[in-house]
Amino acid sequence: MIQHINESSFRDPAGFLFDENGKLLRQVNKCYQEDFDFLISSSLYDILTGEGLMIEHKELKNHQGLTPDCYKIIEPDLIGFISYPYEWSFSQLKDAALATLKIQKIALEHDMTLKDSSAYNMQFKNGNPVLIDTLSFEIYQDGKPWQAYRQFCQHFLAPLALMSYTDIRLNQLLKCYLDGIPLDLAAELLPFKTKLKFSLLMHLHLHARTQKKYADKGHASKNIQIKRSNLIALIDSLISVVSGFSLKKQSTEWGEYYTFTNYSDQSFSHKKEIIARVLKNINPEWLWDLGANTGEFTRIAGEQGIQCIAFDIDPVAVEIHYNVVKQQKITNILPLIIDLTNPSPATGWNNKERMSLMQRPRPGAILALALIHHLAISDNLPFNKISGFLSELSDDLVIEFIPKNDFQVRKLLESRIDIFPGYNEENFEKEFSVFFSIVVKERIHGSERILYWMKKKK
Amino acid sequence: MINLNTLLYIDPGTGSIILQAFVAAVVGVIFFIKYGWHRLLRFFGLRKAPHPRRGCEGEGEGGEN
Repeated sequence: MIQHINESSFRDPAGFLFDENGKLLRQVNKCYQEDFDFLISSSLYDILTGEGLMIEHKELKNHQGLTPDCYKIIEPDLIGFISYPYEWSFSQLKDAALATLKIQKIALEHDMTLKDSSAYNMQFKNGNPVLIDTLSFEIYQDGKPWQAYRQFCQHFLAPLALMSYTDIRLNQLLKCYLDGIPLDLAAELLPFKTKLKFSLLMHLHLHARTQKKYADKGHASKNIQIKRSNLIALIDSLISVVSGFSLKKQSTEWGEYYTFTNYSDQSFSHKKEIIARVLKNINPEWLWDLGANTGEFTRIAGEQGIQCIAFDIDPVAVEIHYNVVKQQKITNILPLIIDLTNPSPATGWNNKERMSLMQRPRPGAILALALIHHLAISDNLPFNKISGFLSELSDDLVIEFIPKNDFQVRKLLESRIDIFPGYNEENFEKEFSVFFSIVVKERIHGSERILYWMKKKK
Repeated sequence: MINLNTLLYIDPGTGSIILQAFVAAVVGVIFFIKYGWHRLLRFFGLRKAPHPRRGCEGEGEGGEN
């Protein structure tokens, strides 16, 4: 029996995740027994799982656990694809924040409270944010302050405020600061007008100040009591301020850009038809759409019941895509922000706590549409490096070649010297044939572009 | 048996607890006033539905909503 403790699960004394022969299990320790039993008996577990706010688990009988202080072993429902807050768009982070607050509020109604509120405790399942850490709750003691308030402000409030008031790209700070953005840094980066808004003044600016002031005075907060009704009012205040965040300014500026498709109707529908046909043949369970933009073509795969992860470097495109997915109640597409030339690295303790992109389970197929010219020309990547990379990701590749006389490529070359004599159809096929065989090759009607289905060579 | 919270493993932050107490008190007063005003209006028949905020002294999940 091969058992291996999960690299991200070591801080909480209540228990830990481990892998056993390919199964993901969670050990609940004896010190957490009372809280765990209360979670079940108070019906909080039933309510949260019933509302789709938390994952379910099965209790395993007859398992001794990995250590003598094991109380129970549970098998949690799996999340198909693990993603991290620095890969989420603005609204994904906002929805995860609101879900966390909703969970805390329901918990308080059942005499429990969240002992942590890390954004890494939330994952997306069937399009919605869910709590994956069943051991996050503790029995609420009347009068006790919310221990996870600081963490909530750093993991959720600060990045959302920065994306809303300063720049949408600032969620990337979460990659550097794994326990959320330090409040003093956020306070410095936010514009002055945020000091004039009561909630932000309290939860961010004053919060940053009091953190600094009492940094060495641990005893000062020892006996502080907060009435339950005031605590609930505080949670409501957080719900209100988070709900109020928006990207109004940015999304209207860029709205038009994303509705311009570059194709004639004829080309567009032919491209869609080829993709739908090829995907039916490949029939993958999982698919990654690289450079998915707002998901026009991801939805073709989604309609066939394929589980899709849609990556794009542009946070506005991912935001728009996520909003479409929500609006159309699509449960099998997860849009994420990824720069393919600098994908998420492995971060955290020992560089093992959070997986790099390449460490996540690989898909059965890849879509690489309207992408090759960005990688080969804008990012100066030789064809053989691109094809090598794609062959590592998946066995089946649906890729679009954009020739030099295409409008998009001419735009890319407008302001620079053309040092790409090898950027042509012949070379593209030659370099990709090192790793792939071409199964299907079709020119898109009314366009110079070519669609390929390639299969990795064994 | 009282849970002695030996399982709290993250640092709640001294300043954060102090600030939280302050903010909770302030918003508690604000909500009390808003909620109290709403209840007064209901008493005089000037409002029908219960206040949307549900606290521990609240109107319950169902209500007239």
